[in-house]
Amino acid sequence: MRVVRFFVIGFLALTIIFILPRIMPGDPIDNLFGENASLLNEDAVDIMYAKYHLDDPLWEQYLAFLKSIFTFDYGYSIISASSVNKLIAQRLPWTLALTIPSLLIGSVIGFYLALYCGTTRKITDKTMTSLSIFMHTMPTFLIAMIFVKALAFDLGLFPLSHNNSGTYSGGWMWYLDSMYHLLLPSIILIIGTVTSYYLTIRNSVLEVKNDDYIFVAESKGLTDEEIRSRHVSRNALPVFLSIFAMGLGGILSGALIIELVFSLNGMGTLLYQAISRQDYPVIQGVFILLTTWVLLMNLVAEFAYGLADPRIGDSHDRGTK
Amino acid sequence: MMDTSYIVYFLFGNKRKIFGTSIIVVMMLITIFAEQIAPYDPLAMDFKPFLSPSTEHWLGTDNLGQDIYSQLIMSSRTSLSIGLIAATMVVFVGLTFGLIAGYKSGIIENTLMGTTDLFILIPSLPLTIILISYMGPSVYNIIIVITLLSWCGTARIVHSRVLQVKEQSFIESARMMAFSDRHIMFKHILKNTEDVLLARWCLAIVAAMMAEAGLAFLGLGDPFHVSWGGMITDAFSNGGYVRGMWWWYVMPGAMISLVALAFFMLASFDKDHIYVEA
Repeated sequence: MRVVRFFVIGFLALTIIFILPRIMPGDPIDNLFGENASLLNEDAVDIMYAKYHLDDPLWEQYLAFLKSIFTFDYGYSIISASSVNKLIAQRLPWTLALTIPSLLIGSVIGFYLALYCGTTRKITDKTMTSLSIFMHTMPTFLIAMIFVKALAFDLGLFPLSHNNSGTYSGGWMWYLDSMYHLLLPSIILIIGTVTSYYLTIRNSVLEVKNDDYIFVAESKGLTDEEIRSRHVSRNALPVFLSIFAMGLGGILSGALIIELVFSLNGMGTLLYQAISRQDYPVIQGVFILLTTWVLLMNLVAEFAYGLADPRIGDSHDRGTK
Repeated sequence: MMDTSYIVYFLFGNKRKIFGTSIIVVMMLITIFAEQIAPYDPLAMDFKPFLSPSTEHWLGTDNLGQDIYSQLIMSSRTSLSIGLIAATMVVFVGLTFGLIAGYKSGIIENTLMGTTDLFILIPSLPLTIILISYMGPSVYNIIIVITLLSWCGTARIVHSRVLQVKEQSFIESARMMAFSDRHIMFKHILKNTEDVLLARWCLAIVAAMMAEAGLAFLGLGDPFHVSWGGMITDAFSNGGYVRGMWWWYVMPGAMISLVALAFFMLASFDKDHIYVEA
């Protein structure tokens, strides 16, 4: 039942992606030629329309659109004369190199800090909580700007921007150079992930901390460490998994602002440039990819949630039978 | 609908809330009397560009020779009104969806919550950029788009709260007494969602201000109404950042930070739990 619901919602989301550019004001061919559009004669416009299938009936365009989702054929960019797939293939590894390590490292650190500080409630908890709140009161780009100013500009510890310095064309030096360039943006992303996981997990740790079974476990003589790993963590796990799945859903587009601050060539900058140049095929292709990925991760999250918290699985079964 | 004592608790219930309320009161006064407080016209290009802070210009001037301190004061209007209006609309739409979906069941509930899930699933930042760049970056459009893409979390939370409340025995007795659906929904169920709504409202204000700042950074802020996010962006792209004029971007950042902190403090209803994210 839930899977069917997911497919219906996914189908609707993709339909919105199809409709959106078509109900927006402006003509793609006019945009393509910019201020020269008025110099085009009628025949040339017709040829362009036919080439991009813009004069087909809407339902034919829609069928072609649905087909493109399953064949992963998103057509060609209007601006850069390269296929959308190729553009995505060029940009995707950079974004993933930035977001996947940050998500993994940040979520694990955040989870364990929250478990530890949430159960001990000492000065570490106060410090971490204040720091986490403080990080949430500032826009991401301002945090990035201050870090770059202090660590890269004034102290010279990190490069200021770009994917790599461009002096190496390949080999392990190229990898090292690129990693060095991605280090500071990754650190900023990790801090963001740690602080947001910290606050969320801490709330669910505090919820179970005063429960009877924790008291029983304490009176059985279990050490704090055992209680944390066996009882408290087990209750924080479902929450952890659900925000982790949301984080996984965001790894394709989540670093848009950071990519812009550091002028990194990732998916975020690709999408941003495509939008500002009204490059419809690229916008559409990237959006299909983002949406299907988020959809998939949500489906995974539902199952993972049921596995981590047996009570949820039970109630769902009872509901459907 | 709300008791006075409840509102007093919401605003002054503990030390943190008093702290939050006092910051908000000060910010509101600045916003209302912005024209009297700001020494110059924030958009007038009357001075030398890139001046350092001095007694005439507390925060110096920007690349066009505009007074940064006056911009900082006037920006409070844009940032706060976007935050307040968008958040109020978010809570209103979320409440309507959540309340009806929770109280009714069957096809109405499925349609409403399906729509909510749809909006949760669509990647919101890219969609915000697309919508704003098509509709044009005005304060109104920014408010509309932020509302359109952020009501869904509130709807989901209100929905689950209503489902809980609906099972309570006092609802059953109200139904036994033949009160109408509308009466039960507004008098009994709504009453039990108000803590959620107030907390969501506070968080939505911060989220809307952050979204506006993010849009400004992407070049999609209203060019006729300077905001704090817009000022930081100006500093970043118009030379303040590379010239080391930190006061140009740190001060608006500090204003955003203060307002956000104040609303986070109001959003936390008990001593321990702290919520900062939707």
